[in-house]
Order: sequence, then structure tokens, then C-alpha cells
Amino acid sequence: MTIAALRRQFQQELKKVNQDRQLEALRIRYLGRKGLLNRLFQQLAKLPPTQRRRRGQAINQLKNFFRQEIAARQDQLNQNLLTHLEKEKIDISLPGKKPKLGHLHPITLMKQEVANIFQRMGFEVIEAQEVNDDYHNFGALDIPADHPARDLWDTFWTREGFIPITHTSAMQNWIYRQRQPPIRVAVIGRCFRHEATDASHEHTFHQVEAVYVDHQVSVANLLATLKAFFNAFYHQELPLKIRPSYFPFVEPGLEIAIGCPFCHGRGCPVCQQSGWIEILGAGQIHPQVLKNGGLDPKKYRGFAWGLGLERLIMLRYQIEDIRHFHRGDLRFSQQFR
Amino acid sequence: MKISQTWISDFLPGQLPPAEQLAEKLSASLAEVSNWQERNAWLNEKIIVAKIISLRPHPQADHLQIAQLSNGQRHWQVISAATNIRRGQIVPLALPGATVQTPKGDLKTITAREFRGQISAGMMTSAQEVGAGSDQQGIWILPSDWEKHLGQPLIKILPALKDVVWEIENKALTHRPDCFGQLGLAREIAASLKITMKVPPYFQNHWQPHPKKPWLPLQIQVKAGDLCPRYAVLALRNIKVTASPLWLQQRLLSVGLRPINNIVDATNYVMMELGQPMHAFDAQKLTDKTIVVRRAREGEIFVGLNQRRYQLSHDDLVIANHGQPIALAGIFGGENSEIDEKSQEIILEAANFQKATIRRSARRHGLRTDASLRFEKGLDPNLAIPALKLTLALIRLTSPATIASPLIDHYPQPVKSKTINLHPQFVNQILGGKIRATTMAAIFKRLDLGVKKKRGLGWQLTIPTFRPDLKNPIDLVEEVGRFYGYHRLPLQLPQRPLRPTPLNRAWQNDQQARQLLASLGFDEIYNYSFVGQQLLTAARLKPKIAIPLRNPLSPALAYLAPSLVPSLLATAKLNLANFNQVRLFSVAHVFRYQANQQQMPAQPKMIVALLSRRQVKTETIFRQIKGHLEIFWQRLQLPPFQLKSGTLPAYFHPGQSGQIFLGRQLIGYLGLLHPLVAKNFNFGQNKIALFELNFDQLSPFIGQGDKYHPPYLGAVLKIDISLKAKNWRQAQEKVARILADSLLKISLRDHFEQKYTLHLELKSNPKSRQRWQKLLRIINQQE
Repeated sequence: MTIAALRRQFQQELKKVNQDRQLEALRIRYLGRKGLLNRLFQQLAKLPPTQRRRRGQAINQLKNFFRQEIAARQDQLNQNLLTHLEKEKIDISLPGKKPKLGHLHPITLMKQEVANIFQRMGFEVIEAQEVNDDYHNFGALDIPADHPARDLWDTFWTREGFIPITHTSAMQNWIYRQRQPPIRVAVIGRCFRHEATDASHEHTFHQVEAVYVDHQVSVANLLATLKAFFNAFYHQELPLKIRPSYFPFVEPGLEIAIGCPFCHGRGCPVCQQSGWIEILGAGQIHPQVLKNGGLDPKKYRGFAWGLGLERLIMLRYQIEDIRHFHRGDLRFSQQFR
Repeated sequence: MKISQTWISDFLPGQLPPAEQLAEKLSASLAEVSNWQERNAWLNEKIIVAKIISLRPHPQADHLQIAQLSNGQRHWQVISAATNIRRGQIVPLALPGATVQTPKGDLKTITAREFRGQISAGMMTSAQEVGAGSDQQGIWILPSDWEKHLGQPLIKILPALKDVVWEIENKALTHRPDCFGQLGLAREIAASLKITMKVPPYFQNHWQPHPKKPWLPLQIQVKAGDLCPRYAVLALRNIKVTASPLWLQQRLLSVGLRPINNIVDATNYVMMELGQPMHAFDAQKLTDKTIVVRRAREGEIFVGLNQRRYQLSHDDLVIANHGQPIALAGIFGGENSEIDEKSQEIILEAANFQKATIRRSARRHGLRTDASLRFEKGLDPNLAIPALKLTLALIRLTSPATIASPLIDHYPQPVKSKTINLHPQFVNQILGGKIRATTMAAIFKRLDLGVKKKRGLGWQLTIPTFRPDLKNPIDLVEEVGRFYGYHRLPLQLPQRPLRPTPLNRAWQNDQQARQLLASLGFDEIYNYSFVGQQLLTAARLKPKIAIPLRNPLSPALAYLAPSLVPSLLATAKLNLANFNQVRLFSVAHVFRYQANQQQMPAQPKMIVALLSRRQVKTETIFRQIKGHLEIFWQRLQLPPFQLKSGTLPAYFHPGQSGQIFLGRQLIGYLGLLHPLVAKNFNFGQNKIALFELNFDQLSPFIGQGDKYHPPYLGAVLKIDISLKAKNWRQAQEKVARILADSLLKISLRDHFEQKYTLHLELKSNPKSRQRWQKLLRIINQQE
């Protein structure tokens, strides 16, 4: 084929091109490794040297011409596309199609949050055994049978006399027997109380308990530690209000309120306008309890404190009914993430 | 426990601080004051004491009377419909501006009004209308000796009507039997306010009353001395049963008791002041005058004041007369010896009973009375005599009451004060403070502890017998702490070495597994650990595998859950009312008997995940749940599992489910729900697929399964191939056996019955091509 013919053929074909894909095919056909131009170059070798040079120049000119034409056409196509895009408008206010993700239950989320702080503070996190015996739930904690303090815990019993634990303190004896001081353990567990349920009472709930035993451990240490915990939990400095309280396994026993983190103590619906939130029971571990756990109370002292996870969640989100937690209704639990 | 301001003022000199301040003080030093209020806060001085000086019928109304009332100087005309008023009676008169309460408890203000042409300048009131009790029948007739109070405001004469009452929950005082009386509470308040309490004159344990003859032949026999450390009685005659003095009635009302008559009120008053329960028997109702304290006979019947019959056992302690129980000791009086309006001779009992016996008995019979509440805490036996003295004094306010017997006091082993040695340094070590020894000593003295210095050894403290809770040095640390003020201690974080604490792998794995299931689209559910027979049966589980509770809250919560599946199915059903499909999971413990049922129940932690879909092919939903398990497995880096057929829990479809094995360990189940269970739960169009894993068995393998394989960087051949096989596993095995290490990836493209189309990725090299040809030959031969 002559150069001129090839040039004409190219121009005719280029006119028909109106898509990127066609233009690319055209480019390959003419300029590709096995393209028409390269075929012309290959034929050069058969020509006598005198013609070879002129013809070579002419083919190179044609190649440049093809390149320019293709580039120009590409510009044109791009331009067309841009004008066309204007017409491709969609309704971007349409709702997104969400991939379906699951949700962790709020109690799991709170367990993680609380465990995280304890771990940062150097506590080992363990889970409570949910059904235990009378000794671990009561006896080891210095609450013998027929002790009036048993009224503090309405208790379920299995027919064989085992107890769905009434508090995470049921783990204390086991902790003391498994470890050597210094002991720093946070117990997380599900607890049970034999009481009728209503919006603020549930027979099944979750507790976290901190246990600390070492040579010299004082009430001042206890107060500083739990203050540090709540400061970390609420991301602010909170004052403590300390009340004497009675639990047979601590002496002295304390009940702690923190300054309301939601209103900075000014008074709000969460704290019922008092500026304070009663949050936990605490105390120095009774020497007898340490002794029951195989630790010498002359050498070691400790403190313990426990709080309810549901209460922390209810306070944070202003949840009106504690029964939501175990009702299994996704319309409740899907709100937490 | 309620605290009456007028009552404790008997023991506390000077003015008490304002109610709110005192509540704060008590909360900080004793126990949280749960609430406080002023009784009848609305009552004002416009209600006065007045005398009816004349009464005449209303000329225009049959049922009304016109009364003239006087304060001694002024007269008022008052119209009344009451029928119990007579000339000369003394009554409360509400003048304009007075507030009274209606029978419903609403408040109204009195004004002068006209009744059919006659002006009424005020109103005579009932006791209820002025907050003095529940009596709404007629006008409150005041004692005739109140003539001396004419014209004075009612609240000046009966200040207890506007008593301030603080309340502390009983359970906060479990360890403090002394705080179940106003006297003990006053002692706490005195210590808190740093003032000296006035000890009442009756508070000495020694007493020698002088009985007048003829004596009642009163005798006591304590046959169960181990259960009754002290039993003191005194007989009285010339008793006139009548109403108690108004101030006494008002104090009882303040602390939550209903006034009954002068005898019952006196015993109640003493209980409320000292914490010592008292009992009065009608002596004339007894067959003889010998009182026996003994264990009940098996099956013996006791009829209480409430006329109910109680069947007793050998573990109950009774007060008996002539073979009949006349009281359930320390708990409840008997109908057969009850005081009534006709009682003239009575026997007063002040006793002390062993606390555990009282507690057990009271619980067993569901009779938790004010008396049992106190006895079960371990009362001071030395309260008996002061209590008897006070009771007698109170009865004599309204009745002659002659002493008709010597004091009979069975008290073989008098309880003496104990001593505890304490060093101030010990107190500071425990509290972490720098409290001065003199400060501590002052606190002990205010609590009536004897403080004796011991050279170099701190103190020897004498503990009064009314404080049985003070047993060890640590108990005294608390006394210092609560009165010094815990808030004054300097906060100090404990020192600890920087050694990392042990990591609880099981806890981490638990959190990771939950997180993973949530990210796979499953919603986490917390169900109760309890389950009922109905749900178990619906899931085709036999209730006998479940551990029953002795005291379930309801039939639906009667067993410890032996499986998470029944409750999770119920939750799925619940939510399908609001959602087209659900994906749920639960991680919790289940409870099962060990081989020996008396052993601690096995309580493995389980994971159950389920998903529901409508109008779906069985195979599709099966592959979906299996796919979820596979990705769960990969992400937790577990060694591969095998799914085998075998015995399944009864809620799985036997043909569409399998056992999950990790190595040789059976670790769970996967498959579709049994159609009968689906029917029982009314799943209708919804198909349910689920897997169940024993997390305790699984957890140690988490993170163990993953090995590193260098990525294959050469060219890859991608080919599809179809072949016949018994099942997918066999199809894979056939291909894998021949392609060996040429095979990079194998997956199922499609299958129709037993013809499987596999998609393969092979290393592109001559060896692979040889193997591939071989594979084709074999397949062609077979088909």
C-alpha cells in the first residue's frame, strides 16, 4: 500500500471513531507493534539503499501525523465526554445502602471499657464463676449461715444447694488461693438476686470488682485508686463522697458517691438534683477473709470495691428500664456500638 | 429504722442542728440517711386547745349542732355535724388560717363560713384531720386535764405532731443491734456532734423491786438454756387497759408504729427506745403461773395474735404454759395469752434469745416481726432489766399497776464487757492517715468505751456489752475512721512495681470472638441464665438434664439453662416481629450436672450464632451459616475443623447438620433447625440455621492455626473442571491428590446433584501441565 493510500484510509477510519475504545483499537492497528506502520518499516529492508532513506523519512512523517491526529481526536472525545457528564446527573440525596453489621450488647461494650481501664491500671482481668457454693459466696466472706447480713443478698439456690452467685466477691477466696501478693485483680461477672423485677430491679445483673492485696494497703490507697478509676472512666476530675457502710467481708466498709459527671455537681435529672451519684461499695478486706484465703492478715492487707455495670450504662444513656438489658429486643441493643 | 427528733432530744442536751445538717452528719458517721421529713409540715399554730361550753341544735338543720367554744377568755361559735361531742369536753379548734388534711390526705385551709344562716368561726377536728393518727370517727376528744392548756396551739402541747423523722435503711444497720432503738441512735448522734449524752436513770442493770402481797405464784423454767441466755419476768396487777398518753402515742406514730393501748404501747415504746423487745401476757388467761421456755415439739401447733396456725418443729423455741405454747419466743405472741381491754393481771417478759434460732424460725414461718428483727442481730442481754423498769414506769403513767411478784431473772452467765488492745499507729496504718492519739481517744470516750493507756502498747479499750459488733482491733479502726471523717484522709495511690500483670488469654479470646461475630453481622443477645420447662420442651430438650432452682422466681425461670439455644430461639422469634431476618449470637455459660449431681455443676462457656432467612433453599442457608463458621475460624486463626455426621442435640435437623471436630475433639454443632422445633417456635416461613461451640474447649486453640506461606509469585493457570463425585469433599480430594503441590486454590463454581464444577488455580509450569493432563485422563476414564 502506498503511503498516501494508508494516510487516506487512516483519515476515513478516524472519522468513524467516536469512542475511546475505538480510538485505542485504531491506534493499535496503525501504531502497534504489529501495526500497519511497522509493516511498512519492515518492508524498508527489501528496498535498495538509495530509496530506503527517502521512504523511511516519509513513513516517519506519516507516523507523526497519526500520533497528532489520534491525540487531537482523543482531546475531542474527552471534550465530548465532559459535555455528556453534565447530563449524567443522579439524585445524590438518595439514601445509602448500608452493609449489615452486627452490634455488641451494651454490657459487653461496658465490660470492655471497664476492663480496659483496669488493665491500664495494672489489674489482671478475670471472669467470675457463675454458679458457686455456699462457702465461696458466703462462708469464705465471713457470712456464716443464719447471719442476719445474709438478708443483704436475696439468694437463689439450686436443689443441690449451689448458688448462682450474688456478687463477684464470691471469687475472692479463689483469687487469694491462686496468687501471691501483690494481688491486683478485677473480676467481671454475672450476678443473681432473688428479687422481683421492675424498672429499677433485675434478678440478673453484672458487676465488676477490684481486689488489691499487698503488704501495706490503706483506706487512703483505696480511695485514691477508685478516684483514679472514675477520673479515667469519666475523663474528668470527680470528687468523692464517702459514707460508712456495712458488708461483713470488709472493715471498715464504705459506700462511695462520686460528684455527678453529667452536671459537674450542679444538679441534673441523672443525679436527681443532688449533685452526687452513689456508685459503689468498698472497704478494707476483713482480716478473716484474707485468712480464709490462706493469706496471713498480719503480713497482708487489701481493699476491694465493686460496682454494677448496668448502672454505669443506665447513667450514661439515661436508660429508663433495667429490664431492657435481658429482653433481647434488637430495637434496644442495636443503638449501642 | 426511723429516728424521732423529739425522742432523741430526751437524751441530747441543747438544740439539735437543722434536720438537713443532722442528716448529713449521720450519713457521714453512721449510715446513709435515706430520707428525712417533718411530720405534718403543714400544721400551724392556728389549731388551738378549746373547751365546749355549750351545745344547741341548729334551728334550720337536723344533723347540725351549734357549739360555743372557749379558750378561757374568748368564745367562738362553731357549727358541727359530729355526734360524739358533749358539753365540757376539750377539743382541737381550727381557726381561720389553720390548715387541716381531708380524709383523703389533701390539705385545706379553714375560713369562717355560714351554715344555713349561722356563722361558724372555725372547725373542731378529728385526730386524722390534724395528723395525729388515723382516727376519722368524730371529733378528737382531748384529755380532760388539758384544761390547763386552753387557748394554746396544739403543736405546742404535742410537739411530736411536727416531729422531724430521719430514716436509715435497716440493712445498713445489720451489725448494730444498739441502733435499733432511739437511745443507741442518740448515742451515735452525740458522738457525731461531740456532745455528752444524758444517760437515762433506768439504765442500770441492778434492780430490786418490792412486790405487794398476795404474790402471784409465778415460776419460770428455762429448759432450753442454750437458746435463751436470759429470761426475766415480773407480774403486775391492778392494770387498767386504756389509751396511752398522747405524747407517747405520737412518738410511736413518728417511728412508724400504731398506738393500741397503754400496755402494748408501753412494750413497743421500750422496744423503740432501747431496742429490747418486750412481751406482756395476760396472767389470768394462763392455766397456771409456771412459764416454760423450751424447744417446740415436732408438729406442735401455735396460734398467733393474727389467729393463724403455725406448725412448729424441734428447731423452734416457744414460751409455754401448761403444755401449750403462749408465744413463739422472740418472734410473735400467742392468741391465747393476748392482752385485751379486760386484762387486769399481766406478766411482763424481758428476754434474750439466741440470734440464729430466732432468725431461722422467723424465716421459716414467714414471721419477720419488729422483735425478731432485733433478736436476730444479737441483742445485749443486759438490756433486760432497764427495759423492765422503763416498761413499768410507762404503764404507771396511765394505770395503778401493783408489782405482784418478785423479779424472776434467769441469767446464769451474765455477759461482761470485753477489752481490746489497740495501738494508735495501727489505726493510722490501716486508714493511711496521721490522726492524733488524743483525737482517737476522744472518739472512743464519746462512744462509751473505756479508755485505759498502756505503756508502749497504746490503749486497753473496754467495750460496752451493747456493742457486740466491736470484736477486733480492725473494728475500732472503723470507729475512728467514721467519726474522724474518711474525706480527711490524704489520697495516695498504692506503689507497685512496673512488672506487667498476667494476661488472661481466655478473656481476650472472648472479647475477640464477640467482636468478630458482630463484624460478621450478628447482633449480640444477653439472655437470662434461667430457663423454663416450656422453652426446653419446645427445643426438644428434656427438663431432667437441667438443674432446677429450689426457689425460682417463676416457672419460666425454673432451671439453670443447660443450653443457650432455647432462649436464643425465643429471642429470634421475638425480633422477627420487627425485622425481616435476624442474625443473633450469644456467649454465655450453660449449666449441667456432673456425673455426681452433688458436685459443682459443669458450667462451660458456649457460643451460639443463628441466622434466619425467608424463602431460601436449604442448601443456600446451610452454606451461609457454614461460610460464617469458616470465616470465624480463619479470623480466629484456628486449626481447620471437620464437619462430620453423628449424634446431634435434639434441636438440630438430623439430615442437615453435623458435628464440628477440631482434631479429635468434638467442639460443637452446625446445621439447620429441626423442623419440629421450628414449628414449636412458630417460625413459619423463616428458615433457621445455627452453630453452637464450646468456647472453653475452643479458646486454647485460638491463634494456633496460622502458618506463614510465601506467596507464589510465578504465573498462575486458572481452569475450570467438571467431575462426578459422591460429595464435595470427595471431589476436592480427587483433584488435590493428583495436582498435589501444583494446586494453589480450589473452589466450587457450581454443582448439579453429584456433578461438581471446580475452579482451580495452578502453578503454571511443565510439571503442573503433566499433572493436569493426568487428571483429565482419569476423569474421562471414569465418566
